[in-house]
Amino acid sequence: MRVLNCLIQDHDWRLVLLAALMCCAGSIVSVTLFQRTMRESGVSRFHWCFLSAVTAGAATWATHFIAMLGYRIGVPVELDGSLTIASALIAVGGIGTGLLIASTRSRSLATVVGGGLIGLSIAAMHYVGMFAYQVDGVVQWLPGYVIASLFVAAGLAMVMVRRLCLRLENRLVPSLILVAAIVGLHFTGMAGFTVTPIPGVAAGVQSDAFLAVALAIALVALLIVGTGISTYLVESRAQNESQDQLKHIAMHDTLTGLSNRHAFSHTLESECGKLSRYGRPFALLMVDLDRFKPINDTLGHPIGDLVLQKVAGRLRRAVRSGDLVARIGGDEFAIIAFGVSDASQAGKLAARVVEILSRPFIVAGNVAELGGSVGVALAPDHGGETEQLVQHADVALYSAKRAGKNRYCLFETAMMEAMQRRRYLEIDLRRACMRDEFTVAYQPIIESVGGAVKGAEALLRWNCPGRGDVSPAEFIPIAEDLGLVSRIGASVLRQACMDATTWPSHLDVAVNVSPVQLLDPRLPHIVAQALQDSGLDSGRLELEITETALLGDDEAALRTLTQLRDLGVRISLDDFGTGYSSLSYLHRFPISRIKIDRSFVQKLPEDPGSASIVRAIAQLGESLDMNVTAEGIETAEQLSFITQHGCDHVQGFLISRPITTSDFLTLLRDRAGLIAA
Amino acid sequence: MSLIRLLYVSRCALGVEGPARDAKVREIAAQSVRRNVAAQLSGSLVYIKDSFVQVLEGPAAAVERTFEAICCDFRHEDVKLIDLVPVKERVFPDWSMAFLGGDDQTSLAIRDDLEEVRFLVGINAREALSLMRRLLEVDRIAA
Repeated sequence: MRVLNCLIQDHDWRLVLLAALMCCAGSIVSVTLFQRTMRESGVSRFHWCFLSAVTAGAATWATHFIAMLGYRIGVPVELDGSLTIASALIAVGGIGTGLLIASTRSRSLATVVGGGLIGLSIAAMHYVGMFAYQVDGVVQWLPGYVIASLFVAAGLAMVMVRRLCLRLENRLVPSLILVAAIVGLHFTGMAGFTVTPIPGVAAGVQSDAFLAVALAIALVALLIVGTGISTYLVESRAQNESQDQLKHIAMHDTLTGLSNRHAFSHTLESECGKLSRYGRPFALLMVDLDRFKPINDTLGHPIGDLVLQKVAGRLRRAVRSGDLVARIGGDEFAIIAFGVSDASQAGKLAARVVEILSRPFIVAGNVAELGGSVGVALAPDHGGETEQLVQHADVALYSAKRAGKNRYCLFETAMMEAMQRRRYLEIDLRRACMRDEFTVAYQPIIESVGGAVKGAEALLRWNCPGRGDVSPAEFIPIAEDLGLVSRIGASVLRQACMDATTWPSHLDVAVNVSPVQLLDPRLPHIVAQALQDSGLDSGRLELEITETALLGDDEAALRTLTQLRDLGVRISLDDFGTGYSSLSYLHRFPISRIKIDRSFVQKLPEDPGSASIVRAIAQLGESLDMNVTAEGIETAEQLSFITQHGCDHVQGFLISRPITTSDFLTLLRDRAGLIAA
Repeated sequence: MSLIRLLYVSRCALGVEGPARDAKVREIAAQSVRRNVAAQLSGSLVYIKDSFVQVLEGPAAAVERTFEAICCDFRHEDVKLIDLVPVKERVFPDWSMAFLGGDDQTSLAIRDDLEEVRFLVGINAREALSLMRRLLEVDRIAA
């Protein structure tokens, strides 16, 4: 038909090819920019719109112009400069306005008005360009084709806009539609354009000159299109980079560059998921610095921060590449070691971490010896859920800390139970304090010669409802941690004084005082109060302290002990020989009795070492004019040895186990009865 | 420019024994020479049996940085910092990292000297330092 005829016969194929390339390249770029424009809002949209309009306008105009240059018309042609320029401006302006309207929210308005305007602008550009194409001949327009061309342009432009409104990623389809619109418009329009040569005028052959002009235009237009796409690419890259940066900040700790808690939780969850799906094992290590807080306190936060940065560096070195190291707290870190399936592997890694953290840190001229404790939990051996794993690793970490720090600990189920038991014990202990559930038992002390009862040592007992008897060895350390020792100690003292008043007045009562209580400046007051409330004579009260109590702040201890002695109370040194014995204590502190620790008594009389020590202590006591008591007498042989070597008093299961005050009174009566008989 | 001097000891953890280990240690010493030249550091490294004794001197920041790298190195273990002082002049100005190594090839006399350095470090760091310096002088004269 006419259009095809026109396409094939009337054009220089080289220029048509060039025009086609221009059209395709220009369309793809234009569509990309159109898509970008429609995604924007506010002021940015105007900028993108301008860019798109210039690029698309230049591309379509250049396409048209090059195609026109390729049109073999057979008559001389002249181009009107101003109309040519005008057609370019119409293209840019029209497409720009159309694009703005196409970006509005209302789909129908966007499609019809926006699309229509874009199409008609391209058409306007074409026909104005045609008017600029002044031929020496008779020009005839076929209205049918002209109108058809308008419909083609506007219609296809509307379809393109509709497609763009769907906000799909695809660039190809809208580009093809735009190409179709431009090409369709052009050739349909050209089909409606006929020129009849005027007889007498020579046919003009200017193809080479036209080719040169066409190439020049193509070059300029391509440069414009190139600028358009460059701008788009530069902006895309900048956006991507800033998004990456934001993502990095969201997932990483700013100070150390390690993953943050958020990223850690995310990874842990994902690993647990992989565990259940593919069975991929991993190890979780919780790392806690041992002596970081003093650093922060004494050297300040800036130095502390530098130390943390170095710690992060060291942790990265200790793990394998690919393992995750995260900072999840002030001085808390976590490591996820992927693929680690057995305890020995995990242990080696943990050992490396402990070792590298134990090495000295030098920051701004300051030396810091930190150390770290590590708790290890394996997945799936120790759990497959995030919370469970973290809990288990934490319990293992807690064990490591309790065991002395600067080490690692692998989780064991027993730990969980121990932890639970301890936690329940703490609760029960607090309640026991409130309700005064403690009782006092008394272990009689007798003279080694003659066997007369001299007094009794008060011992704390706790019968917990629902738990039964809890050994002091288990609950006293917890009481110390909870800060309840002073309170419990005071109540024991009060009870002991009360009970002692019911005994014959020649009998003494001995009460244990812990190091914590000794450092409490209120102790003399508490003792005085207990004596006053009970009415017990102070000369009957003896307080037993261990050597460790004298170790720390011995000035304060000395003050307190002197005050107690001034009250008339006696002081005895318990567990003698086992602690940090310093004979100067016996000299400096107002001590009136030494109690030989049971560990020496146990091995009597066979073990010559123990025998010598016991003998020596007994002699020491005698020369310093102190009483000596031996604890833990369980056999008759021990008793006879002790008696032979000069200990004044004895105490132990052989004589009696700890008993209640009423049983003690019974015991006294029985013994008195025996003696009498 | 404020100079500091650092002295530390450690134990070799290279895993291999004998000549292979000696070779690796020499390599480590050579690497540290290269690194120290750039950082204006000087010092010396003693290697005897499986112990290292190393002295680093130079600008404070460079020494700290290098020591941190040393502490991140798993080729040795049991790193103990013995001495860290500001100084006015260098003890080993002519050596980026003087290497005093005692392996099976070295003479017994030299090995004894190096063992003495190691021993002295535990008692009096300054004495150990002077001994190291003297040994280098002897080396220099001998070479």
